[in-house]
Amino acid sequence: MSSRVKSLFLAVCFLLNFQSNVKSQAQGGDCHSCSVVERALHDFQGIKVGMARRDVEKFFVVAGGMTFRNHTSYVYRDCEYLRVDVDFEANRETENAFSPDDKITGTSQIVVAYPAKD
Amino acid sequence: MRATSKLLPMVALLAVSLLAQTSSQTAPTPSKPQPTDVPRLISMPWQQYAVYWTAEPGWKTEIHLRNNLPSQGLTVIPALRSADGTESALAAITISPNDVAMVDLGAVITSAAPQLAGEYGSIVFRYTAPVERALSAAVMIQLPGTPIEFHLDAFPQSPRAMTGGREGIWWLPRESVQDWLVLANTSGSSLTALLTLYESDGKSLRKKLTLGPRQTTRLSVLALVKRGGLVGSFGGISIDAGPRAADLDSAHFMYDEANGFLAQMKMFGRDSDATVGQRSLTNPQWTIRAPMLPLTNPDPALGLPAGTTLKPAVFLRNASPNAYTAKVTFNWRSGMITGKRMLAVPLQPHATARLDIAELQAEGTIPATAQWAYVNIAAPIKPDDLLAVATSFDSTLRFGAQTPFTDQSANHWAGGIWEVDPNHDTLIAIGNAGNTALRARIMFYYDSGQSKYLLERTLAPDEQAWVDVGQLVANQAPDTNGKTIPPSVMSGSYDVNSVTDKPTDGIFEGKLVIDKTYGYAVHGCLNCCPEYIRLTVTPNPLNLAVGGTSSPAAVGTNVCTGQQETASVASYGTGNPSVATGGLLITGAGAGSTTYFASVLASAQDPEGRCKMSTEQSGPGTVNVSCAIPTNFSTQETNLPDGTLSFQYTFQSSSGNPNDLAKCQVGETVFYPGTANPYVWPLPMVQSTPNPTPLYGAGNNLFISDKNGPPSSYKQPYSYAHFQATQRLQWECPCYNNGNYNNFVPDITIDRKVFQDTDGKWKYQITKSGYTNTVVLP
Repeated sequence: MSSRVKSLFLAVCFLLNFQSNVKSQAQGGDCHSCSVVERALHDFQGIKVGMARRDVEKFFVVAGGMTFRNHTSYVYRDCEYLRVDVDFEANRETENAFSPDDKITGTSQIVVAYPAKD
Repeated sequence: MRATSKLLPMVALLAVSLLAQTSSQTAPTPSKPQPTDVPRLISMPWQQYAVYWTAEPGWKTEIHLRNNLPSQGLTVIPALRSADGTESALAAITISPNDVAMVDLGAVITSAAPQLAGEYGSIVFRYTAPVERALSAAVMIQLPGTPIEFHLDAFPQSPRAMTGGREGIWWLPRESVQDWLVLANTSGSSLTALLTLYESDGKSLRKKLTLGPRQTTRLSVLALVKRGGLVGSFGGISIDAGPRAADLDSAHFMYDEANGFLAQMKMFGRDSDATVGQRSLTNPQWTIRAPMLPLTNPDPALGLPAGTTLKPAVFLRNASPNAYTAKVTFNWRSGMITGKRMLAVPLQPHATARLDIAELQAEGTIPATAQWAYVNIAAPIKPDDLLAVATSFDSTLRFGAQTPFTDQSANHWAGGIWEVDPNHDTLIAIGNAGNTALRARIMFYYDSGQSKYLLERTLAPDEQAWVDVGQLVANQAPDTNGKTIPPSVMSGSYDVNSVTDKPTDGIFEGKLVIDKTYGYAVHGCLNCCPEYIRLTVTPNPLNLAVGGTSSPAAVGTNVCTGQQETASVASYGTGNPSVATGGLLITGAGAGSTTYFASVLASAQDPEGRCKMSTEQSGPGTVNVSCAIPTNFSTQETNLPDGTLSFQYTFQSSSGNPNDLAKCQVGETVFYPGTANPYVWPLPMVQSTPNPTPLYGAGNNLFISDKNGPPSSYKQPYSYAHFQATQRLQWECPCYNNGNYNNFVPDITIDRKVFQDTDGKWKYQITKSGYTNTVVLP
């Protein structure tokens, strides 16, 4: 299985489990282990198209390995297994660096994946 | 006749309307850049011809000359040709840039050519200029002391022969009316022609004509009609000159000195070989337009006596042997209110019909209160098979005005003269002849052409804009740049331009100069300019990458002004679509070289001087298409406190344009030991990573971050551990190496280990490309 397929598979599993855990919690069950996921989802939902790179980096850090200015992978600051890919329009005033003013043009869903480390 | 001292509100409203819309528009369209890399044109001798002048008793002829050159004077030598073809050159006239000159021929003849007193004939204007259309010339024929006055434009020598002749309509509004059909041979050799006069139902009589070199002849059509036994009050005129059509010019006018009546019965050139496609870019049918027809209830701005009722009419003539139905559309206006009414008019072969517009207004087909109409006539026929003349006079024929029908439209009209003084006013109407919106610009020149006043407006298809120049001056209305025309200015010239890049049929125009002394208006014309000669594309050569696009400029010489201008490009074409494709842009398709050219939107003139819009192809340029690839790869490294080696990679596009790499991929694949996926790092390093790890992005990311990090955590008790991964930095471009991956640099080893250092501490260390980062374990 390729790493991409595996990541997607894990993401599906994660989301299923998350739904299940939310349900358990709603029913009064203990889901202490899910709290980081819940926080990640909450923080992720605050990221919108049109915001800037600096808004992403309040909650996420640039993933390991190779990342690109107009398509950057981030991992959640409290759990590097939670990854989101963000598309940017580069701020023209900055060359050869990520700019905190790069504008968000799109985001992926949060996925669970082994982190790249190179 | 009672003089009208004041213009009434309707035209004022029209003028205000245009200004209001102008001021609400965005800033004026910026002037086009003036390329400087085109060689200057060399001045050459040119000639233009006007069909008629007269110095007969009672008549006055004035010549109006406009220098279209913006920055150099123009010297014109008029030469009068008498009816027998004898030519007499007059004194040279020098005109300032963008200025006009008016010459009273009678005064010149009296002082310098008394042998021509009492004569008539045609006139030729000779001048030396860098471009043929540097001169706009017209002849004004007047019967002083009466409202009888009309003008005839001059045209350059035909560039090629034409088969056909001249077509017209005769009208006998009353027995006392006289008429002249003027025929002039502009060439230096004799020509013969066949004159045919038709009754309204097509019955005809014929007369053979011979014109010697440079000769002019005059015929009374009305007398010929009577002598020939033709009946009715209107019919057709056809003059077949065969292959000599381009050498024959004509004009037809009728007048009645007793009550100051004059009607100019415009004659139309016939090109037997013409097609609708040659005359129009967008109209599928032959279309002619009369832009300013005064209706029954005349606009007070015309200065007619109170209570004057006009009897507007449109004569339509089928000049072909086939029956068809013409679609006549009246775009009427009453103050700010406008409307449209269409009629279908069947026309039998060679028949002439008269549409009584007054009756249409009386029965409500067109509102009785409507004051003006722009009349549009279209039919599914060959060009010149339908012609029309509009008239609008009161029952006495003493008061009225005309608006000529024309099929002509252009995106650049030049040579208009405006007059505004206590006894004159000028109304100008411009309209969109195409099927897409365009931005129209009217530039008024005054102060010997040195001062300018600019108006701009966007026009929908078939929409008109009206300007009352008198109101602009009287109200001190600001132009697009906030400038006003000083109240002391009483005349000048003007140009009309379309500012659009879309293929369109451009602008049609009309003008009425109102003489309040006599309460009449005469129409005037501009000359369209075949805008460009020596069209070239720039840059040349054009360098493009595969997948890259460009919209190179087309530059040409404006034939009116002699100036180099950037033309409006409608589309591009190439010589080899596998190298570069055309369309709205030039797009690199594959490595190699080929030709490219631009199709430019421009005015053009046929041998008759008739204007139309066309697309003209520029001379070819060369487009060199190369495959853009990443180049000049470089690396910077920073050690982070957590033990990360943080690299920043940068590179450039071989074409210099980063976007040319948009279809390329750049990135890495990192191979960890073995084939297990994920690769589990050896303890005490706690980490699993995808194996291999491929990370790629689009090639136009010229900056890439690469972080080689430590494990997530370390498990105690610590022990020595070590592994190596191989990093391959790659790129691929579809146009290079069959789209296979290429390495930026040879494979890189990433070396990680946990070890106990000589100081006794356990440490994590990473080494790559000569860079090392070491941190103490927790």
